[in-house]
Amino acid sequence: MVFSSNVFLLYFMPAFFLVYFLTPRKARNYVLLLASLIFYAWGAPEFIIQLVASTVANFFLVKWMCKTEKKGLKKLLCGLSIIIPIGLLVFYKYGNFTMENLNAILGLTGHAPLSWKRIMLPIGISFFSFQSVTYTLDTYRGVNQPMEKLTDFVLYIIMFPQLIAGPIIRYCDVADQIRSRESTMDDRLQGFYRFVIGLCKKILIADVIGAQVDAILGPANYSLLDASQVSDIFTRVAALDSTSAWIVSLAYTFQIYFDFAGYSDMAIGLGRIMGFRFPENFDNPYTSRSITEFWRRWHMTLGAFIMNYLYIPLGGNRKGKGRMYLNLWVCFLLSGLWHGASWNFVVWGALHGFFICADKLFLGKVMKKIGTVPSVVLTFLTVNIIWVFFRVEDFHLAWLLIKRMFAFDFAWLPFGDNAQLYVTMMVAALFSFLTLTKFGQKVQEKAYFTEFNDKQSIAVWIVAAFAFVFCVAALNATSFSPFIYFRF
Amino acid sequence: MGKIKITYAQILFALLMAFLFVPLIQEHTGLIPVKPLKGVIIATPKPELTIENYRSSAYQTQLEQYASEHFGLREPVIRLYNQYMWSAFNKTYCQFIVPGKQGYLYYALAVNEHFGTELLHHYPSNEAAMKDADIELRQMNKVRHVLEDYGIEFLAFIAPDKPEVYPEYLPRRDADTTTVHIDDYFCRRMEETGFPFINMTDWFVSMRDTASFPLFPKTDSHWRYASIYGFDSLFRYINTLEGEAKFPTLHIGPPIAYESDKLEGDEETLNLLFRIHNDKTQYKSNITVEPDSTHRKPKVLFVGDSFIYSMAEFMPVKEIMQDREIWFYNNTAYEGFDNKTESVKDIDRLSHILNADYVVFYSAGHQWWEATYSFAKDALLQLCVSDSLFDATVTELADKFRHLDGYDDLTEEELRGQMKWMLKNNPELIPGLEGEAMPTIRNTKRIEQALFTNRIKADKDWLTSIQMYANKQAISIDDALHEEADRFAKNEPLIRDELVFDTAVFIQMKKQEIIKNWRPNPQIMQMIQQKAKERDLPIDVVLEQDAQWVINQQIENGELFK
Repeated sequence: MVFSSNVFLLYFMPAFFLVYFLTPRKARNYVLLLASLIFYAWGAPEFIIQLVASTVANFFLVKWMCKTEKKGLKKLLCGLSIIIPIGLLVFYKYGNFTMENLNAILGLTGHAPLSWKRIMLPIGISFFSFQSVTYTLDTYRGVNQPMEKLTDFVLYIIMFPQLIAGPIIRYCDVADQIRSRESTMDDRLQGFYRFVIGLCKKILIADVIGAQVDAILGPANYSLLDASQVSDIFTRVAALDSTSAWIVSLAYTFQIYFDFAGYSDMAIGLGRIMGFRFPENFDNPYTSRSITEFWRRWHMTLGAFIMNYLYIPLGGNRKGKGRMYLNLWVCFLLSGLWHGASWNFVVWGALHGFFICADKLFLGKVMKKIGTVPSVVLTFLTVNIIWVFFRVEDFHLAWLLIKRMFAFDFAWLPFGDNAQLYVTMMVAALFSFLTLTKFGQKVQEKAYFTEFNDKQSIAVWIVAAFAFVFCVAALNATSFSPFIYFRF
Repeated sequence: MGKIKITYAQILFALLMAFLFVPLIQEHTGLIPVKPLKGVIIATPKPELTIENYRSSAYQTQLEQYASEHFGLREPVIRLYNQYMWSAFNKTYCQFIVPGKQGYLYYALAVNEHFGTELLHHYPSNEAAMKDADIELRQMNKVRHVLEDYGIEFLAFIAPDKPEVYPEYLPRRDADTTTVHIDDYFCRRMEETGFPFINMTDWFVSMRDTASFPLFPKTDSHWRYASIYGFDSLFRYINTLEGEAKFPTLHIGPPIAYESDKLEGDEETLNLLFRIHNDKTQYKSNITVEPDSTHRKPKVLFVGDSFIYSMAEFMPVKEIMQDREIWFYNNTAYEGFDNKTESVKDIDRLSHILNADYVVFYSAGHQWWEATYSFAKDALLQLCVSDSLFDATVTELADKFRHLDGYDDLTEEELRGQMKWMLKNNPELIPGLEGEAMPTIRNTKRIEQALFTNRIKADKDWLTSIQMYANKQAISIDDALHEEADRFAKNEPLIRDELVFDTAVFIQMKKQEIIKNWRPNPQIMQMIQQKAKERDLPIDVVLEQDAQWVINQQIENGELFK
């Protein structure tokens, strides 16, 4: 089930909250657990049993790990507890990719390809497998005690607000809230407002812009297309003038931000209604003055995960500069691969890794010297170009689009009949860069984090209710729109 | 006991929960009256929950779509977004409607045709389109030639497209001048081959600046009031042709402007909250028909597109024509322009064609690439090819094809099926219909049968006997008509003469007739449903009871057995 669907917005969500708040406080986790199981089983009926089974197995492995005094066994159990979720992730996410590449090599060496049945990727696997890892490692490191109740642990892994596309919540950040939490009336209202902000980002901005991106670049997953459809996409891209090519790439840059940030807002909002305080996932990433800063503001929970569970264990910056650059590079290559089992994601990760290293070497200093606006613009354009490799699976097509962007045959107002695209992109740009000004920072602070007085509350309630209705209207007047980040 | 203090936040949260449940409550109670949405969608059936459906996610996908079509307050919610899109971006989600400047609406395919791109959607090249047009016209001429033998005129009528008449309000778009406009090509070729036709487009274009009323409403892609002048031209043209079947003389009064809240045509299907234009002016004319006993009113079969419907709305069709029938896209048959519909393929097409004095193929210019929606091909087969000749040609073709690649693995039945399909699409493969020459063959037996059944239909008592016989034997009326024709051909006693009038059968038949007429009428059916609900009876029983009541009234008033 997705948040921006009728089934969720009009049936599941009202019914869930009614039952949840009518249930005595002590039993609410069970309601949430049951709802989460239904939520996940709705979208991935084939995978729910594996998910629950692996989660249960992990719970007992970790419990055993904490009880045992034997260091060797402790390590073994820790490893096993990590291997289960990561093994599932590797199997489901990289099985096809591995076989495709293996067969390509076999083909090159004149051997017959191996036959295999394509594996369907269960939604959200990248997120909940990482959460499972944080639980094992945080417990192993003694940061937190293991969960006492199995149901609480299963809830931590499959809690529906963040199950499908994060934020990736570290076990230590949420353990206490699962055991006991308070949800004030203000929390519930604020949570709903935050949810509506996310819904607006997704439906009114990301989906509108995304429609134009899809019209040019086709669907995100080219494996679903036949050769003639892919050829049509090549023809369309080759025919783009530079203005159109830039618009398409910028559109995607805004689409992915508002799609993913919208989902995170909805997840945070839903969590807050129930009294959870999930970590923020975005902090105006397009206002960054370097790629390094961009990664401090973009998908912050993934950044924190990589830092804590990959970069630091690899040695971080403790083993010399050369090793630090290598570690950074490896982290970003793996981050790329985490986003998708395809070489274009590896390139995307590698390019980010390259710029992070360049920042450390010299680029960071240059960016500081040239001032805020030029550095923000340069960083944004760099991110924008790198996003092309993220969006376009086919390497040649990505390169063709970049060539069209730099062909310098500009045209005045392409897609002239699509005023909605331009207006929405301007709105997206406004909200992306708003916090570069003090006024913008105040607006954001007010919208996201301020508790309103009574009069303000009534006004905000009315605005939020209207925005909710408007999003439902847009959803149904256009079409059903799944989230981009489900693929990852 | 202390007083419980209720905070604003508590009230707002309670209101929020209530607000979230509004659609669900409305869906199940319909408490709030809403204006229904207009337009056609393919409704999603309520999904059935089975393990298989659920595992394949088909249930989930279908339920989402079903929910999208049924949630409470869907209508105003969709109108809200449509209004936003319209007001902010001049955009609509209604398929095939192109918003122009100043709130003008156009039909998308007509706009494509205007800019010369429509043909490219259907043909690889201009030459291919023109070649097909030539074949179609050749077949139209052949049909015309055969119909002339039976005193029937076959002619064509080109309705104007709004983009040709009001191009200045079209949205900006680049024209592709290299593509042929297929209606222009047909006009030229019809003129060359002597096929009679009327082209309204040029006349409307020349009239647009002097007419005292708009030739097309701003918000409809169809001609409406102005169609009066189009149809008047058609009737006048037919009256110039020889024959005793003539249209009565019409006196069309000057345009009368009046205000109406009813939205015109396409605007209704945009499903907006507010009207596009404040101007509610619409037009009508007083049309009088001069009685003329020297001519009989003609029977006309119209085959074509939706541009004909304005005739039923603005013209006194019952006073002008004796019998009128529309074969909408040669697909759905509307007898007498009313709601009585049947699929064209299910009716006795030959007898319907031969029952007409005029067969008019009419279509707006942009649809002429599809002329005549296979009517000419089918009519040619019906009129010229007997079942035995058709079967023999199928056998001959099957023998030729069965060893060719792509056909050699077909079963005999599949092969014959393909050959039949081939002949229906290209009747000129049949000996006697080939090439440029006019057909030398006739489907004589079927034609005689059709003419005979038309004789029966024209005789009310005879037709009643046949209907009673059909009812008694539980066969279709067409089958009973064919049986009567067969008996006539074989000189056997006729059903009409043999049948003993059975009052019970007659009443039952009349009752079924009444019910059949009620079923397509939504107002009557709503009333019946209401009664069924009140009486706690199945709808069919209430239909039967009410039809019996009507019959009783007719008997009491002496109307049934006069």
